[in-house]
Amino acid sequence: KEKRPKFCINDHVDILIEILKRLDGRSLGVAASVCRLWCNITRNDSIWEDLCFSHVSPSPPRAVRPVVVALGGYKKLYMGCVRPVQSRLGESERVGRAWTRDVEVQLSLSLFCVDYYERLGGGGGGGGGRFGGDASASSLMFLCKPVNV
Amino acid sequence: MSTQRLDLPCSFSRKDTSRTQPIRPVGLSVENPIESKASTRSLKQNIRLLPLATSTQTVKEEFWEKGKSLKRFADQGLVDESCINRAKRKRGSIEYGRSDTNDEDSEGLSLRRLDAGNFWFQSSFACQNPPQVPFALTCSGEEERVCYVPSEVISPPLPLSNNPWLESVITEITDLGEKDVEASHRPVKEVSGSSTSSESHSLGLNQTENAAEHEVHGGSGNPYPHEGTSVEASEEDNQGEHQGFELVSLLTACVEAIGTKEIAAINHFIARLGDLASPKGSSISRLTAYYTEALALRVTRLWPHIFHITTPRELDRFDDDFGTALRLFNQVSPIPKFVHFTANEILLRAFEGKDRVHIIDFDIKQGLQWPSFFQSLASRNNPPSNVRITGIGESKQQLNETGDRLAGFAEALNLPFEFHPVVDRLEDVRLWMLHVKEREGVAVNCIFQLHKMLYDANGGALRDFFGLIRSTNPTVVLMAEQEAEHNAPNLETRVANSLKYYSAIFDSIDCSLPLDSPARIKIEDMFAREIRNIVACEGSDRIERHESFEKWKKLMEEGGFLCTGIREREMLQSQLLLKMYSFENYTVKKQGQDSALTLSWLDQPLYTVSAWAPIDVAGSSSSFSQPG
Repeated sequence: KEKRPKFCINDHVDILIEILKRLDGRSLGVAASVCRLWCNITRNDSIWEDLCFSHVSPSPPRAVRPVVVALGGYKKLYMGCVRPVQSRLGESERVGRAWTRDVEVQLSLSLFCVDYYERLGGGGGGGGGRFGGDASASSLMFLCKPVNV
Repeated sequence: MSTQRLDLPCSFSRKDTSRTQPIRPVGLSVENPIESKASTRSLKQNIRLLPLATSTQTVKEEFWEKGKSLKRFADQGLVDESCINRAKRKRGSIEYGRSDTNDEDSEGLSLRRLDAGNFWFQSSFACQNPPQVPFALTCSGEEERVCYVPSEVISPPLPLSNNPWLESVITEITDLGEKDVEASHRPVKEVSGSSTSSESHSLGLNQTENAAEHEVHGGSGNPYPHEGTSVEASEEDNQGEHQGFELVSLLTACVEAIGTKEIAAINHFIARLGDLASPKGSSISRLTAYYTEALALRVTRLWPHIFHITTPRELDRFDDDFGTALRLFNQVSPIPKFVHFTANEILLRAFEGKDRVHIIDFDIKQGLQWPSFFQSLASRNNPPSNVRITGIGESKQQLNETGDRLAGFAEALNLPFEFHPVVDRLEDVRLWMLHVKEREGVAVNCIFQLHKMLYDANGGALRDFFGLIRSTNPTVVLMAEQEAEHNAPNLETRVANSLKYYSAIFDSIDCSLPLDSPARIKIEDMFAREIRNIVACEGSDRIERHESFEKWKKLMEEGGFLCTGIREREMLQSQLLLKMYSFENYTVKKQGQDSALTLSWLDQPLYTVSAWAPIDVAGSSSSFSQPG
């Protein structure tokens, strides 16, 4: 009688990645708290890239990647922009035209840029120091307000 | 109440009497805010505004989910202004289905009796409870000396009136023209000013209004109050409404008095307005306060020997504050993003395939438009090998900072970028300053700039500007303008139209920020600047000459440009953008056969974005070589 080898997913990281790649944002967050390995995997930005651009057709040009990475990475893009945008727009919007999703992503990217640019400010335009308490209100703050979808 | 000061923005409660020279007279202050409801009613009865107003109010309460809408006030007040353009009046009445426009007596009628000697005051205030004491109206004496600020339109807040919370009962009627009474009034006012009871009362009033506002858009998530709260809200709204109607009717009366040059009446109204309106009050109160300031400025310029206003402070903080205000505005409102993203989308399309890209941005300010454009360029399959921006502006420091930031951003994206600052006024810019080179795609970006060229009655300035634009050989000219008609030669029309317009804007800001937010005050001050320009300036000083898109279309076509149209993608993007803001009052519509995209708040159009190409270029292969 041969003992069947136990299958431990953690031994097969490539398969693990393939699986995790297909999760939605929330599940990815949950997955990150499973164990150290999983946590490390979820820290990998490319998983979040798939999340950001899932269902986008045609898939965005290769050149987008360095841009996003330069601005903070896919995870940041997802958490800061894509996810709130998606939740604001709701399911119904996205079922629309094929390129609706593309426009949505572009919109998220644009917002992401504006936010990055604002942070670049550092006193530029004379506004930096002065808005004091308001400085924490980034241009993406409006995305954080709860909304009845 | 002898001092008229409008301290805007953040120092309104400063009772800095030493700084202000009163626009003289007087004191007609309304007494107890408690009575204000009653008093406004009686006031209105006199103005014949109310009888119909209340009925329409109740009707409106039902279908108007959003508690207060300034526009209602604006429309209501406007229609009884006899001088107002018929067309505008009709528009007002149609919007809200009110049929009472004809019935509303022009207050002008009752107001004219002012000259006949306090007659009007007596009758109107007679019904008020507390002070039966007749009140004072002192006409502006000749001793008013003026030192008004040279017309640089954009004068920062002017102390105009105190806190309405300092109301008290002055009232002593004297004959028109008696100037020495003022002296006695001032002390009276000071004393009453410190009375806490009226203050707390007013505070109470203010709070209820605040509560109403918060209730109405409570929790930021639900723009529409539930049934339960709407009843309550309408209670408080009623008060707010009355206040609103009173304020607007006072404004229109004041404008009319300016038209008929009745100094005493002007005095009276500005005093009243100064009393009642505050840049820290409700939305309508703030709006009225800014209009009052603008009217006061205008009046001071018209009759410098009669009216006196102290020199405004903070002239040098102008640019800084404006920059901050703009960034804040960009954060809370979709308006700047709408304009920028739509323009960028069109630009992207125009630059498809171009290897060298040059944007001439008239008034780049902080360059908020460009980061997302850079990202789109950098994400292209073939990013351009060279990106240049020529930024034009009036502040060297701001331009340099903007240039540095943009450069930093472009570097992060690995986008080869050059920035050329041009510090000059629009009319002084020449082609050689613009660094236009061969073999590049040029785009001209005119966001809220073209209207500044309309001051020239025979169109010379605009023609020259168009000539300049054409000489750069642009692929596309992006134009964004306020969708409004604020360029009528007569004041009444301008005030009427702009009241509606800025009411909508203030309403939209109201939805994003609470009343006590300093950010909000900054943003509102930014618009107050425009209001001041529209109301108080003339000739080449008045640069905020907003026109409707139809007018612009004609002007552009006469100038040799053809509209390149708006595609579905821009429309969709705008719609998505608006959806992301929690209130659904913004709409985006196409105008004129897909020529332009207009953003509206409820049914008030606000801004229009369109794109143009010079006629010899459009439809033919461009005059610069195609990229490899």
